Amino acid sequence: MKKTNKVLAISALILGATGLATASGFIIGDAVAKTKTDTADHALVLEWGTTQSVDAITTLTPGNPVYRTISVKAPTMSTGAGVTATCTFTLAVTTDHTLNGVAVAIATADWAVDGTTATSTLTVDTDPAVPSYAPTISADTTYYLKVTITQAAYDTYLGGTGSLGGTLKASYDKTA
Amino acid sequence: MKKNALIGLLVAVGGSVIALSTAYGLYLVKPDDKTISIGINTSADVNLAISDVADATSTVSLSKTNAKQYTFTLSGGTTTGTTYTQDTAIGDLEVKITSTNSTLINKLAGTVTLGYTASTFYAAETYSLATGAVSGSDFVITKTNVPFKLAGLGATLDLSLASGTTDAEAVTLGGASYTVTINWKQNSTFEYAYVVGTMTSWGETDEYRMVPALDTADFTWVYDNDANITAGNSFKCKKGTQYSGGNNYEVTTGYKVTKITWLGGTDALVASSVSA
Repeated sequence: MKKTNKVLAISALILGATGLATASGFIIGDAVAKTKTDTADHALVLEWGTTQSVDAITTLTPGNPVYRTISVKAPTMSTGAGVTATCTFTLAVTTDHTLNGVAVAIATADWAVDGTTATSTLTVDTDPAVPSYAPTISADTTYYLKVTITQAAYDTYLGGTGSLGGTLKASYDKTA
Repeated sequence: MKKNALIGLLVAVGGSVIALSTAYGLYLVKPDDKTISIGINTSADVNLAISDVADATSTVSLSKTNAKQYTFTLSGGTTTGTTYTQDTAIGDLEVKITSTNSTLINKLAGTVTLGYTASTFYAAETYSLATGAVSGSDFVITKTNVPFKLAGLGATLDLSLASGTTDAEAVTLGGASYTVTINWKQNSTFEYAYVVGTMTSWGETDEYRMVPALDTADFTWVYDNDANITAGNSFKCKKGTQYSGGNNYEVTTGYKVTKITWLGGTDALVASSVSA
């Protein structure tokens, strides 16, 4: 009880005779609520599709392409995430090896279908740095890869000058 | 003409009334008025306060892989003229997270940890609140009967997404805004102990209310006031119907009691005194 309540205490003595009750107890003032507003992170979920044919290529001869298939699921992302999803195909040469004469043609239709054309063809002949192809993904997509080797390159390989070796990497990631 | 005649009549009647009233005189003796002042004080003895909520993880946002941690301090300040003398009080805490995104609310996991850094008892075991839960359309963490030093009690809110949150749910709640609201209120359910004695006519009075001692290893009641229990008084501690054990403590001549502690139950109280 506060000192300034002495008036009330005296009053209570007077009012007591009339049967009026008075409450006692320290008065605790509630705090003014504090708030903090924040935002949850946007989310982007990327998944490969169900069709994946990525076995190593150990045999490649002129006129006999090797086919591989990689599929991606459409990205799911939070509203307003402001990002895009990209599947990047990169052809890289293994150290002390060569991929000269090897081409990877990438199409979005099966090469078994007449009229299928490549949307991109990767070789290390013209740009040995990092030949890559990076389409933006907005729907379920299957990429059909056709790997070929030129007769000249094959002959060179068979002649023992240079060792054929490299990788084709597919990477499904976001771009800013 | 008729109208003027009526006015004349009214004036005449009014004049007679006035003449009649002035015919009475009055000799009056009356006592002065008695006034009962009713001044109920509604200002607080202790004002609870919350510091601004700080974000200890400001470089990341809430996600499946990022937890958030917010900190704030709960305190209380006594007001001028109050007889509230103890440095400890009891409050009720509520931490509420609101969002228009129901997935976010339903996937939250959260706790509040209170850090009694100045307390031996509470420092030994951080005083963690029960895990929060969805309540209606909000996520709420509550704790009643929170003892705290008026000088301040640090609190930490840890928020994360529940481990079972799926990627699809993470996408759904991504980018959602949420608000953390801290409420710190008067507690009305805590049962206090009191020092009762000759100075209180053996009744429980606010001025002699004991509080939990937050700087002792075991839960102890304490009343710390070096001024008002003087020689000639005798007292005990009391909580509910339970009085402290042993004889009444008698304040001897030449001394005053400065501090009283009581473990509760049938234990005897312990009083410290100094020369008056």
